[in-house]
Amino acid sequence: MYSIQHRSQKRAESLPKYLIYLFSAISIAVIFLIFIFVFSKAWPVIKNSGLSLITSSGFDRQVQEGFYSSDAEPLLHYGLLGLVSGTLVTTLIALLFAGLIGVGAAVIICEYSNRKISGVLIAIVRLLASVPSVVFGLIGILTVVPLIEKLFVNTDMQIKYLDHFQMSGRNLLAAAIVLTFMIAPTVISLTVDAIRSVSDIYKETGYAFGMSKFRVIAKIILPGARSGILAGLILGAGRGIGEAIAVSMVCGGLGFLPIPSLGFINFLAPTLPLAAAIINKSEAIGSFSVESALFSCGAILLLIGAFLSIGAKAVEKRMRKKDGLEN
Amino acid sequence: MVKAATITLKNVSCHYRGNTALKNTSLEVPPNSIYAFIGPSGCGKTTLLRSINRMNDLIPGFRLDGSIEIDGENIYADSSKKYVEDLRRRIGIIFQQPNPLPTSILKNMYLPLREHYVFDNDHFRQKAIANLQEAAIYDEVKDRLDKSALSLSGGQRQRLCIARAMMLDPKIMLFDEPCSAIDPVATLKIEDLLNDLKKDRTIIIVTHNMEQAKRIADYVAFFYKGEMVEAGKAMDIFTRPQTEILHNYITGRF
Ligand SMILES: Nc1ncnc2c1ncn2[C@@H]1O[C@H](COP(=O)(O)OP(=O)(O)OP(=O)(O)O)[C@@H](O)[C@H]1O
Ligand SMILES: [Mg+2]
Repeated sequence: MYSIQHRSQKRAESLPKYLIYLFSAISIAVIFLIFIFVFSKAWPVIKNSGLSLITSSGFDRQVQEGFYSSDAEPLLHYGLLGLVSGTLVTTLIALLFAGLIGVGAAVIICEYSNRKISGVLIAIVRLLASVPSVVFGLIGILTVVPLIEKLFVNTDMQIKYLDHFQMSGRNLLAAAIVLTFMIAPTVISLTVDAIRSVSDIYKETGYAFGMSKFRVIAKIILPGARSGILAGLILGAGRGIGEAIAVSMVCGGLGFLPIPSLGFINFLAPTLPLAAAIINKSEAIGSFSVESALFSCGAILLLIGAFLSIGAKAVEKRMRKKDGLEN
Repeated sequence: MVKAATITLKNVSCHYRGNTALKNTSLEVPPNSIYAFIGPSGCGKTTLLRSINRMNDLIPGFRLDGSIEIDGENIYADSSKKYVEDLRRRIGIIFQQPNPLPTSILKNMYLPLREHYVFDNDHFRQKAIANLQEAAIYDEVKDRLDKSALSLSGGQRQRLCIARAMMLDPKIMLFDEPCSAIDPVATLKIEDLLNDLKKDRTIIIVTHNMEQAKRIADYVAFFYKGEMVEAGKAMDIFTRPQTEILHNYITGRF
């Protein structure tokens, strides 16, 4: 009797289990197929350019030449360094801003506002997170770009730096700012959840030692919420790296490689992150050369994404080790 | 033996938003003694204990009437942040649930010091080790000071918390059912420790365990439904209860 019941129970349980395995296997297979597809399309350019694909720049010119090269004798030598740096720099700056804004806002929501206000703030954050990127881009064009033009760009400056680039309100800074507002809601939501999950017991520990509220937040709550904050930043970084539409609307569309001696002026230079480049040049994809070049942009994006998640794991592990939570 | 502090409660009433948890309590805790608060659940023991280091100030709507004096100083006279924070660092509190932070043992020990002193590795470490020794846990953790405090057992965690609470040299230590989550052997270790601690400190302990109160308390106050019913020398309380209700409580007829 017992064994019969036991076996039927087991069968009933194992069906959903196998379904889950099946779906996991399918998703893994799909990810592999995407990698294979992208890399095979990108292969002509990768093979021809070799390492100089990511160590040299010149994409803006090459993509035009590539478009006019015949498919029989396509131009396959590209240099994407300007695009890679555009991706990394805009994302890093946006991440920095969004990290500060996001953690600050989350602290205000959780620790410095009453229930009603925090409810309203969270609703706003959720709303922001669901705004389509093209709307962010549009708002960027209508507000951020003119603002930057007004604050930083004038004719004298434009003439002064004409040798390097055509200065306008569409630049690295604009891209980073728009991206910041797209990433911040994610960082805020995840940080809020993380802060709320820090047990009251831990907070009381701090207060009991005469810590001020600010110190409890800095020394106990935020460290306790660390993995949530990190998760928010990683999701944000993923979004920043992959964001195409909004960024392509405000970035200026040229893969300018920052020149260290120009300092802050680099922020006013146009930029072209990898994802924005794919959008920007997608009309030209009929050309074999451009197609392969854009797929190589995609391939690099995939690799950056993969490194990002591995890197984040390593960082988290390191921090846990420092606290003795792991060997 | 160092003379510790005297705590005097005068007509203390504690109110939460909407309800009164404790009415009109007056008692005196002599220096270098262990004072036990006993009584059935919900009678206001924790409320009173947490009022002595003003932890209840963190609860919105909490109000205390009357006064609590430490060596004659009314600790409710000044409500500036600075005064309250300073008061809390002078008083150690150990909660019912051992609460080490999810970080290494040593970092837990450094937490209170870091808050009030400039970091000095040698000095901090020395002090941490001395306190871990006094809390009778050093031998059990000396090889893993850099490991997570969460890898300790319940009793070890509680002793770690006691050691940590001693880092700022409090003259008063408050214990809220420190042994309710741990086994009898660990409980005895902590009781020994309390007897040791009272040499230089004044100790108040909330306990549900009558045997424990008998073993370690010098004085006992019995609370019932938000009022202090009886208080006095432990011997008198346990051998000659004046009220029927206390008699019933200590004989377990509840
Ligand atoms: N934060 C709070 N807000 C409102 N009321 C509270 C709060 N904490 C405690 N009380 C109330 O105050 C009364 C006394 O509670 P307290 O925690 O002091 O009891 P206790 O004697 O410690 O009980 P136990 O033995 O169960 O720990 C109870 O009626 C309780 O409901
Ligand atoms: Mg209690």
